[in-house]
Amino acid sequence: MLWNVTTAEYLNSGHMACPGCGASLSMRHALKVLGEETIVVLPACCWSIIAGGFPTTALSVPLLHVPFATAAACASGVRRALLSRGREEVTVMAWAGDGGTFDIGLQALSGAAERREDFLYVCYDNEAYMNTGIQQSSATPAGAWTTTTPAGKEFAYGKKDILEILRAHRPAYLVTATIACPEDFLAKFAAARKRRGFRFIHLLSPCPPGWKIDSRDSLAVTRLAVDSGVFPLVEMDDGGRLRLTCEPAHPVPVADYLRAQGRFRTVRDEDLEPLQRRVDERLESFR
Amino acid sequence: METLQFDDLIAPADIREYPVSLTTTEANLTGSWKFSRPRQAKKTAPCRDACPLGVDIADWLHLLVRGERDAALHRLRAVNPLPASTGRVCPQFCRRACTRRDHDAAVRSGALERYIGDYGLGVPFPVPASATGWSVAVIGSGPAGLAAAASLAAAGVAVTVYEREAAPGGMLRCGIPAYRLPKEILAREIDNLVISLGIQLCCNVPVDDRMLAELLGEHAFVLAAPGLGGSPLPAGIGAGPGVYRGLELLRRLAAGEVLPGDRFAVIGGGNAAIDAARSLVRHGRQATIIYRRGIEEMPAYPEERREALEEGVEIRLGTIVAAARGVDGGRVELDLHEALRAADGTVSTGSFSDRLTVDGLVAAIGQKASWQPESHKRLLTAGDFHHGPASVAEALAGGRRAALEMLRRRGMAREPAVGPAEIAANPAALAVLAPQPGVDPPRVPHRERRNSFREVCGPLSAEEALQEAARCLRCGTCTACGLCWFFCPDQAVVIDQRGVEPVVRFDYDHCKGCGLCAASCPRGVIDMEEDS
Repeated sequence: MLWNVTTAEYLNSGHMACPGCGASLSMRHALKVLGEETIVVLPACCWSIIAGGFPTTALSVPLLHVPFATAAACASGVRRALLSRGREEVTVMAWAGDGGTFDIGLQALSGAAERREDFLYVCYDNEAYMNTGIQQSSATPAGAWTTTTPAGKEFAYGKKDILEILRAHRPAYLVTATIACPEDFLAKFAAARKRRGFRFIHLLSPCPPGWKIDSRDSLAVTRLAVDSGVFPLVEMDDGGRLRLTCEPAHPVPVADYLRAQGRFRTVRDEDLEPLQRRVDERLESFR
Repeated sequence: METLQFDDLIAPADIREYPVSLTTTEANLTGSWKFSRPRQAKKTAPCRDACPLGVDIADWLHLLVRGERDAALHRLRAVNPLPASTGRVCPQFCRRACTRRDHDAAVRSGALERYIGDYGLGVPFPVPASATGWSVAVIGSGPAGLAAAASLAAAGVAVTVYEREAAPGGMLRCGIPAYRLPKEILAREIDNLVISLGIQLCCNVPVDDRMLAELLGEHAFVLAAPGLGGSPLPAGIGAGPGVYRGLELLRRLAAGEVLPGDRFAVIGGGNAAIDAARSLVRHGRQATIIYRRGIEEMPAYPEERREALEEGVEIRLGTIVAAARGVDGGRVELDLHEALRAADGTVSTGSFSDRLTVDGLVAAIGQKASWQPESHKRLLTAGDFHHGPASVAEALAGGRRAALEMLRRRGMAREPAVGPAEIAANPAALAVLAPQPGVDPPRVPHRERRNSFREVCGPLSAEEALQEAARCLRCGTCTACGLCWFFCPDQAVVIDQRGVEPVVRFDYDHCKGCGLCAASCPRGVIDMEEDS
């Protein structure tokens, strides 16, 4: 099969994700790489809904729903319980949205990273509190419309640099990825599975209703994030530096990414140039 | 009243201290959410649509990839009887339309056609159908005439081809220099075609009105595909020593004639002008092309243009030769004027700019028909004679069309096979695949090219050809590549591998109609249609 992806499925049909959801597709392929011996720890996020209401579950691996702020704390506990029972081979994956990572779960995340807990933390970042009705989070990018930033998020704030926060903790593995760039995505999950210690994957995950895009364009728009340099695909090397794993394949201006989405419609043309400069500088720092 | 007991629902052993979900979400028929549904549709590849002959390129390339080289050859030659020649000289409209073009490199269809055509030089055509008892005379053995003859002969029609020159090939032989199409390849390809299909070929037989009347009496149909005559001389230039017409020059050079003088000017911007200039360079002459418009407007193929410049041909743009005079020593003196460009794009003669003295002046500015036979309902026309100067592919297509028309009129309705009306195109979906640019066939370095009529472009090896053919996506045909399956967030795409050819099915009970399958298909075979 394509890219040697297994035909085994650990995500069931009939889940509650919206059409064209990046979070469900990302979970499907993350689990295909991680395999059956995986326990998913899930704080409040879109995925709490996607997983289905009691007594149904969208996953055929164990899934633990935990309070909003506690993904990293509960994953630490699950990992230690497994170790105490001699089940070291089981992968523990905390799977949290941007709200549960950048905002509400940041303390537990920092604590687990500091303690060098041995699990994989995945943040699927759709850049707002989507399932509660699109409220801005600290992961919402500058200029983006949400119901709490009706005129677009202030340029003075911008998106919190979660990568730098994590990098300061010197985790065992730190990467960005997106299912819109599948080969890079699969390789990074495969590498994360093999590592031990605290591992963090930051996924950009398209949300058609929240980004105001057509569901069939969700992956193409996400690729524009990569090609424009807005979401660089990086990996932390042994020296603790973040480096690009893929150069943008077909470089495009930031405007192409923004203008493809309804949520950036309040961004004025004169705002584009400083945004472009910010993106270019950041991209260059990863080279 | 009967009531459901708790024990009926769950065994006491399964009761936990905390709620556990054990039922799959598959019970939710999320397919009811959708407004549109994917549908798989067979479409026509853009290359096939772009090909004047409508060759189903993906089809024969696929046979080649599967190791069925003879089947691939016969499939191609059923539509294009001269692949070794067209593989070398066709401008490849198909490559310009290729879905891969902007992703890595368009599939090298010309090089592949040449590969399979060269293999076919020693492989006879399939035995023709049983004789129909009627016959056709074809005037002209250029690509149009030969294509018609091949289609008719394969259908069991007795065909006689009349050629005014000493050898068959028409423009392929007289108009295209050997460095693009070696004479030996052309001769072998035509021999194989004529002999294995039992076509009668009569060379050195020009056909005039009197003979045409005889042919119409003897045959069910006559096809006139004699090509065009010589090119006229531009205004202000009279015939005289040192003044040549493009085709005449090519013919004389090909015949081994040594023309006096060192410095030649060629008027024109088409392939004929470039061919004349490059041929002169190969005879050790200096050649300057004089063209009225800009380089991008030259009708000559860009590759030819580039190669000419590499070989040292000089090109003067925006220039018109307003007058030419014979001067002492058989030389020709040219008055060069600026070309004035009007707003509507037309060009007129401007002020005097330069005087140029050359040993020879070549006018390569298009041809005119030199014969105008009386129309007759059983006389059909094809090729340049029918539609004016055009590519070899267009001439072949015209000949084939004429042959099919004859068969149709005789009740042997053989409609040309055409693909579905819709053209498949979704190159954006290739972004997720790593580029595979493939390799170009070798080319003789330009320093060496200048001294010989050796073929400029080399062949692909068997291994390279297979790799190149495998780059063809087969647009419009589902190959069960798995991209739609990979990108479906709802596992609603099922690839059924049980049959000979894999089939993609959709689980409409769970498909939410997001359209990611359609967006991710580079072959463009998935459409989203409104869900009722």
